[in-house]
Amino acid sequence: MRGILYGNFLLNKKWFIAAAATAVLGTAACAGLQELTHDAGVTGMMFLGMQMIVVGVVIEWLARNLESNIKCRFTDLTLAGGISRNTFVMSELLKNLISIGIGLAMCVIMQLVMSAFDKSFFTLDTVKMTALLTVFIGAIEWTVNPLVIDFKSAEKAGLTMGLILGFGLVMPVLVICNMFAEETENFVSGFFELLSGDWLPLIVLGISAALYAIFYFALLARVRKGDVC
Amino acid sequence: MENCIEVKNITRNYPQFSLKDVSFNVPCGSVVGFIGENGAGKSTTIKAILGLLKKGGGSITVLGENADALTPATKEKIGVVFDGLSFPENLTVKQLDKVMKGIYKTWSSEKFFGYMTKFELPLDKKFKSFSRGMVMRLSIAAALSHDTQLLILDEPTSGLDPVMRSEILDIFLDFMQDESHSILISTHITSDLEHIADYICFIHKGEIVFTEERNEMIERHRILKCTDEQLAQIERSDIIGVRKGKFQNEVLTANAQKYPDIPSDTPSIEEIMVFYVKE
Repeated sequence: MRGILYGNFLLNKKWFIAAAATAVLGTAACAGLQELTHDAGVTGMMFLGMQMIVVGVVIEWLARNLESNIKCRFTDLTLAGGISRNTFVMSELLKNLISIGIGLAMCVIMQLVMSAFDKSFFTLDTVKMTALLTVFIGAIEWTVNPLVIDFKSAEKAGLTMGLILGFGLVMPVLVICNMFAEETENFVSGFFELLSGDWLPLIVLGISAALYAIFYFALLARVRKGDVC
Repeated sequence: MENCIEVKNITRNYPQFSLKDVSFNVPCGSVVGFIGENGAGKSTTIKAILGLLKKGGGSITVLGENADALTPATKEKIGVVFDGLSFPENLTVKQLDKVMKGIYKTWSSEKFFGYMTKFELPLDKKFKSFSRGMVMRLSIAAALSHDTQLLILDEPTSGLDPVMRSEILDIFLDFMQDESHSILISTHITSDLEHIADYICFIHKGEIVFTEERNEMIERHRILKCTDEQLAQIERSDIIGVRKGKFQNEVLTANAQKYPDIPSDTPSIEEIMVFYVKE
C-alpha cells in the first residue's frame, strides 16, 4: 500500500501546489477585502468560499488519478501483484482522507493568517465548521469511485453523482424546508432552523461517516466484481 | 504440484464475446504458448487467470490456490506483463522502484537496477518518453524483480522488431534455467514460440482448439501439396483447412500417413494456426 500511496501522491503533487497557490491568493484577496471594508461578515462569506475552493482543488486529483490508473492498467497490475482488493480500496480511502487532511490544514493556516486582520476568522467554531465541511466534501468525493470504474471516466462519474445528489438530496431538503418554513423565513434560514443548535455538526458528521462506510463497501464490491480496467 | 495453472471449463459472457468451456494446464517447469488470432480470447483468459474478471463458470487454480482468492504470498510469486505500458507514464525508473517496493514484500531493488543496467534503460527519464522496446524491457524487468516463479505474459513482443524480440526471448530462456519456473505467454506472433514453447494452447473464438506438446503438435500435422484431383480424393474428415492456389492446393491434415503419394511439408506453428482458423 505504501508504494501505491507514494506513487499516487508523487504524481499528483501539482494539485497540492495549485491548492496552496489558491490558498495564498485567496487569503490575500480576502485580507484586502477585509482591509477595505472592515466588515468580517461580508469577508467571512467570501473567505469560507475560498477555503472550500482550496479543499476542492486538493481533492480534485482523486477521481482523475483513479481514472488514469485504470486506463493505463496500473490498477490491474497492482491487483494482480501483491495487493489484495481490500488493501486497494483501503489505499483509495487513505488517499481521500490524507487529501482532506491536507486541505483542512491549508484552511486552518488561511484562518490563522486572516486572524491577524480580525480575530473572528480563527476560532474554535470556525475550525470546527471548516472541518465538518471538509469531511463532508471528502465524503461526497468518495462516493464517486465506483462510478469512475464503471464509466472509466472521472468527469462522467462526477456529473452522474452530482445529478443524483442534487435531485436526490438537495432538492428534497429544500422542498422540506419550504414546506415547514414560516412566512418570514426562506430556504436557507429554514434549512438551518431544521438543523439548529448542536444537531447540525452531528448530522453532517453522521451523514459523512455513513457515506464513507457505505461507499467503502460499494467500491469493494465493484472491485470484487472484476473488469476494473 | 504438477500444474502451476489449471484452467477448467471457464466461461465468461460479454455482450459481443464469450469464453466457452476453456480448459488447459500449465505444467510446472514449462513454457506454454497461448496462441490465437486477435480477439480470440487470449487476454480475457489471462485476466481470468489473474482473478481480474467477473466471476463466471468453471474454476482456475494458480500455484495451488483459487484464482479468485490468491493470497498476497502467492501473488508475490507471479510476475505479470501486459501489452504496453502498465505504469503511470510520468514516473521514472527510480520512482517506480520505490512504488514497487511498497507493493511487493520480496521486491529487490538490486535486481531491478541490475536489469536496468543490463537493458540500458535510463533511470531518470519519464516512461512517456520510452520507446515500445524500452517499455517492454521495463515491464519484464519489473515482473522479474521480486520472488517470481510464474511469469504470465500478455503479448510481450507485440510491435517489437525481430532483434528486440530475440533479446526478450533470451531473457525468458534465462528465466527458465531454474526448473521451478514456469511461463504462460500469450501471443499472436507464433514464430517466437518456435524457440521457447514446450506446449502450445490454441484458442479460437473463445474456445480451445487444442493443447499439445509443441513437437508432437508439429509432427502430427502435415501440409499436403495437392492438385484439384488429389484434393477430391482426400476425405473430408481428414481436412483441417484448405488453401487453394492457382497451381496447387495446400491441405492441413493430421492423417498424412493415409496419403503417402501426395507430397507434404512440415508446417510451422503459424501455418497450423492459420489453417485451423480459415473456414
